[in-house]
Amino acid sequence: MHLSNEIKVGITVLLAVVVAIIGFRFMRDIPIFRQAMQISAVFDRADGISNGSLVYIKGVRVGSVNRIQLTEDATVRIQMRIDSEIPIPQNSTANLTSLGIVEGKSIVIELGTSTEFIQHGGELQGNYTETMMEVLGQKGEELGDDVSNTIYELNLFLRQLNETLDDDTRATLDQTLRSTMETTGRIAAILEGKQDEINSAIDAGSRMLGQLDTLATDSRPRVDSLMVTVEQSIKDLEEVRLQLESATASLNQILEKVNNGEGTIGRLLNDPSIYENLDSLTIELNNLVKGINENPGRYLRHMSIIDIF
Amino acid sequence: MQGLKELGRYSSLLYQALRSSTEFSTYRKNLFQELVKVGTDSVPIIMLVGIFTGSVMTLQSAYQLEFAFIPLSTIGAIVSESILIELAAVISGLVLAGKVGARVATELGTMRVSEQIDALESMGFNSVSFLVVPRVLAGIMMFPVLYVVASIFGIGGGIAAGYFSGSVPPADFLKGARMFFYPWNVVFGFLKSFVFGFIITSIACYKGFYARGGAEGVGKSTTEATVLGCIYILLADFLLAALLL
Repeated sequence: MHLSNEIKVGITVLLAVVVAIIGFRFMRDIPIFRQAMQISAVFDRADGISNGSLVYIKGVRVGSVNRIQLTEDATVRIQMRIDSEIPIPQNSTANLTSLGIVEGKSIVIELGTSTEFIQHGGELQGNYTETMMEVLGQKGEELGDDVSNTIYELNLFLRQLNETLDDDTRATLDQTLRSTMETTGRIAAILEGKQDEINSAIDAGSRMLGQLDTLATDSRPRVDSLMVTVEQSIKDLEEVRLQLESATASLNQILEKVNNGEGTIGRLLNDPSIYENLDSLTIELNNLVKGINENPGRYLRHMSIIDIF
Repeated sequence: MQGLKELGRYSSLLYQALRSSTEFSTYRKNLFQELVKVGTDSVPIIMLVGIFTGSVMTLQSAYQLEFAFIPLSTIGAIVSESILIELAAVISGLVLAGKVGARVATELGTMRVSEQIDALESMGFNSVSFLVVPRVLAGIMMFPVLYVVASIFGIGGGIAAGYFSGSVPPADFLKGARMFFYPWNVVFGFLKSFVFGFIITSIACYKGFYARGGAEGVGKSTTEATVLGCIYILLADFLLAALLL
C-alpha cells in the first residue's frame, strides 16, 4: 500500500504527540489512563519537598506531591495525588519526613483507625518532623562553641605541658622510662624462667577448682536435707523457747508471792517468829534433857517401871 | 567584512522566506515531501541515537558512582534529566546536521549550479517560497517530534541498559527520574529542538541556495552547511542555557 506524504507525516506527528503525552504522564507518575485521587495536607513548613516528591504508606509508594502553596495563615498546603486504590481513613496523619540521611524528604501517611474514608479533595492532618540533620544544624552553633572552647583549653594544657617538659625533666623522664623498661625486661625474664611453674600452678589451681566444683555438686542433696533438718530444729527450739518463757513468767509470779510473804513458803521465809519459837523450844528441850540427865528421879518419880511398861 | 556580507545575505534570504511563507499553495506539495524526508525518514536513526545515548549514559554514570555513598536512583535522575535537557536535542541535532543539512545543501546547491533555480525564477516562480520555505518549516516542525522520539528511546535505553547490566534496577531508575522530573525541562528541550531545526535547515538552505562553482562548489557548500550547522547548534545551546536557565 502506498501512503501519501501527508499520511506519513500525520502518522509520525500523531504518534509523537501520543508518546509525548504518555511519557509525560508516566514521568510525572500520573496514572496514564485514569484520574487519580487528589488529597491535601497542611504543614507548618515544607522544607525539602518539591513537586514530584513521593508519598508513602507503610513504606509503599502510593503517589506523589503535585502542588505546594503557602496559605494565608502562614502554613503550607501540599496537594498529593494518590494512585493507590486503598482507602485512607479520615483520621490518618501525613508526616513530612526523611526516609534516610541521604534520601530526600517525602510524605509518609500514617493510617488512622476511622471507618470513614477520605474522598477526592479531602484533607489530612499534616505533621512536620525534623530530621537528624536539621536538629544537628540547629545545635551546630552551640556544638561549635563547645568544641572551640575545648580546643582552646587543650591548647593551654599542651603549652603548659611543653613548659613543664624542659630539658632536665625530659632527661629525668627519659631515665625513668629507661629504668622502667629495664625492670619490665627483668620481670619478663623472671616470668619466662618461671613459666613452667606458673603453668603447673595454674593447672593445679584449675584442677582444685574442678574438684571443689564436683564436691559441691555431689554434696548438694545432703546439704539440702541438712538444711531442712536444721530449719526444723530451729522451729522446735522456738517452741521450746516459748514454753520456757511462760515457765519463767510463772516462776517469777511465785517468787514475787514468796517475796511478799504470801503463802506458806512466804511466811516461812519472811516470818522470823517460827525460828524464834523453834529456837526457844530447842533451848527448853536442851534444859529438859539436861535436867533429866542430872536428876532422872525428879521426873521419873511418879513413874514406876511397871507403869511405864 | 566577508562575515558581515554573509550575515546580510543570510538575513535577506530569511526575510524573503518569511515574506513568502504566506504563499502556501506554492510550497504545499514540497512541504509534505520535506516533512517526510526530515521527520519520518529520520525516525529510525534518531531512535538508534536515543537508545545508545541513554544506555551509555546509564552505564557510565553507574561506573562513575560505583563507590560513592549515593542512592542508585541518582543515576536515573542524572540520565533522564541529561537526556531531556541536553542530549536528546543536541545529539539528534548534530546527527541531523549531517543527515538533513547535507541533503538540503546538496539538493539546493546542485539546483543552483545546474541553473534550475534560475530557470524557476525565469518562469516566474518564487524560488525562495518554492525551495527554502518548505525545508525550513519542515525542520521547525519535525525536530520537536524527533526530540520526543530521542527522549523516549533515550530514557528507555537507559532503563534497559541499567536492567541488563544489573547496575540499576528499573524501579530505582524511575524513582530518581520521577523525583527530578520538572515539566520546564521538557519545555526547554522542545525549545532547543525547535531552534536547532531552524538553524540546521536555514543554514543548509542558505549554503545550498548560494552555492557557486560546479560540483566542487556543491561539495564545499555541503561541507560548510554541515560544519556551520554543528557549530551554531552548540552556540545556540550555550546561549539558550545561559539565557533561560
